[in-house]
Amino acid sequence: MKSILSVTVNGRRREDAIPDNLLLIDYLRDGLGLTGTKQGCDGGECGACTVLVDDEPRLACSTLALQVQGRRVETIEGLAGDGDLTPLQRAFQDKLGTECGFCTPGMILAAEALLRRNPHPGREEIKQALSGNLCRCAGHAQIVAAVETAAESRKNETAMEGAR
Amino acid sequence: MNTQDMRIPRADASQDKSAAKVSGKARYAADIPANGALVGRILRAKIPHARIVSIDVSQALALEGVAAVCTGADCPAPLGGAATEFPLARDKARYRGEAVAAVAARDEATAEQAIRLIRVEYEKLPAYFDAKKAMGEGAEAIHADKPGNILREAHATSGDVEAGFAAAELTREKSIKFGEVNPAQLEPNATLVEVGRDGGLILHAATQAPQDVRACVAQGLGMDEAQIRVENAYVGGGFGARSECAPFEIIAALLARKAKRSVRLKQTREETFLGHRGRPETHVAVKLGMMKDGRFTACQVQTTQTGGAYASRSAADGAAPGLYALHARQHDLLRACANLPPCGGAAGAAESIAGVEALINEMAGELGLDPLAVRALNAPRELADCLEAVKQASGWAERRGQTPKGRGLGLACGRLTEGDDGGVAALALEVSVDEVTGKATAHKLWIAAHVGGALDPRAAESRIRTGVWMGLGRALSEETRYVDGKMLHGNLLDYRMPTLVESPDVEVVVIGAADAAPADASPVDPRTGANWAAGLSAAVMPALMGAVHEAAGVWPHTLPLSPDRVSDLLDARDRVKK
Repeated sequence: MKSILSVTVNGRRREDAIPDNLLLIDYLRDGLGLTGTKQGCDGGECGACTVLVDDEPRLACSTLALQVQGRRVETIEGLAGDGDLTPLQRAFQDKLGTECGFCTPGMILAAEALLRRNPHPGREEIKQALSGNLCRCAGHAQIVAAVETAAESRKNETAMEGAR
Repeated sequence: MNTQDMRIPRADASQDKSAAKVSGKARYAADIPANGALVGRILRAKIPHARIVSIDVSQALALEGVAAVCTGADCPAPLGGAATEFPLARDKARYRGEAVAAVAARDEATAEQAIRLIRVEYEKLPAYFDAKKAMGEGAEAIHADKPGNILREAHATSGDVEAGFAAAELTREKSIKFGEVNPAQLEPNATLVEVGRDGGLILHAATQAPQDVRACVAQGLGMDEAQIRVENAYVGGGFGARSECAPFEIIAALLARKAKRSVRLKQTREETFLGHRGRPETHVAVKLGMMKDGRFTACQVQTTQTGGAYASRSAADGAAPGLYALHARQHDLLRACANLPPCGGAAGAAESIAGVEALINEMAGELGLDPLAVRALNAPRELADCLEAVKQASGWAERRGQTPKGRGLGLACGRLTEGDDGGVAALALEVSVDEVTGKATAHKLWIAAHVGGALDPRAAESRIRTGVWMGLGRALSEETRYVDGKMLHGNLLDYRMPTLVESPDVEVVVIGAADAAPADASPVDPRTGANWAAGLSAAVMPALMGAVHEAAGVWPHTLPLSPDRVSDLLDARDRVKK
């Protein structure tokens, strides 16, 4: 069975005829070529496939594509678009928060969701928010530092905007 | 350490790579586009040890949409020449999960169906899952050329060990069992093999050893190396699993050549676990002689590994370098093969050091000595510097013995790499033990490492942190489990690696780093491929054991110290008290 999926992916509205049992991860990777969304496990264990659905983190491997009908999906490719890296992506780069890099897209999107809902998280809040995303290279301290740095730079940007 | 000829990767190249990783543009093997590629699937043995009587692939071949089926009959050469491991099992299957046949088909569903149509007739053989039974009298040989199922042994003696023990004022022995650890690299195994117009093969491989993959694929297919090209995709972690050619790379190439079309072979997480090549279950028996002031007089270590049915070809040698200025030493290593997935080449140096460190803590306690002072008394200068730095950073002198009830402080030393050419490190660890649940929690860790001038301080610090955390995983939760050779841990929930929320503060003191070399964040040494995790786990595990003793009054003997193990120790302690 096929159905029409209407969805906004990385800011662009799309309509695709897809099988009812297609997983969101396969829709994104195989259908749209958005391979930044990673599959690290056999389902719901590692967090590498985390994407944002209406600003909330979701595991694309455990979500049917049709469940995002009419919603807004963001993948790692959509964060910066064709422009410069976002402060969060730059912080992951600068603070050595990416090693082998396989967990990085999911980790960044989980952090992005946190910062959207809580722009100034404490260290424990950061750890909690990212605890569903495994990092085998164990760059834990560097990842937390990256999110703290990004939160700080967002704060500065907001302060500058307020001053203007 | 020779620092003259070492090259550090250029900073801009490393920046480009990290930019690709944070933007999702970095392409790993499963990300390479392949329109129209066939889908590969592997049939795996369901019996841990068996003679393969026959394989009937006729029904699978007859299925519409199946392009190729391969078995051991298609494999002229064993993996890497010297080994007895074939890409697809021939004659015998030696562990549950060994690849027996493979298919390439137009889609996943067809490939799965074809796999189910393959008929394998087995003749069961006795199977062994621990070293003792595998080496027992009359045990069936897993490999015809390995009598007694001994895969490897090594013996090293220096000085007069007997005289050293005779001179000792206190001699103690301790046995410790360390669980098998899986690399559990986050990127599942995947390969894409394309067939060139000239019949040559292009492999997009998840490997840290492209040359070895090229050589092994050429050998495994009886082709000329010039006909094989290996394109290096980004690699989502290795930790020993990707430092040499793995069977699935050759299987994918066999399928592509037979089908004359591109084949994508992706493995599930469970299959990736079966690929293993991590550290085997290791039993260490240590004997240490000491004077009453803490000077060591002799040390004897016997290491027994329960290896898999096969082992990595890049096996380390058996000599375990000690940490201390101690002449009288004896080390014996025995690795048995068992009917379990293939393990890595580690010769147990980390476990040997961990065993000695654990016994040092116990003996210092028995003699009423400070374990830090005992080590400082025996340490060469670089290690003594690390001990002093950890003493200062952790406030060791003030904190030791003063931790609140249920908390403890432990200490141990280790090497950064497993050879004797790496740096050394000392660390202290504060731990709490929950008396009800048995859960041990690491709260804070201080580490000082002498890194030998090869890295800039930031890169060294990053590598130390990752090494420490992988060590904590091994100390607290990571372990594989099998029942009759059947893997019980083949997913990332049952195989418990530490998550961010369990990550304690780690304070790092780097000694002897280069002044200004470009940063490289990899936990793997770009020059040697070595990873500091194994070396540092040697210090983390005994430090944890020492801290648990101070917190709960028990000396552990089996790792990881999962809550069930700690509970057993607490129960045994309370039975004695009553």
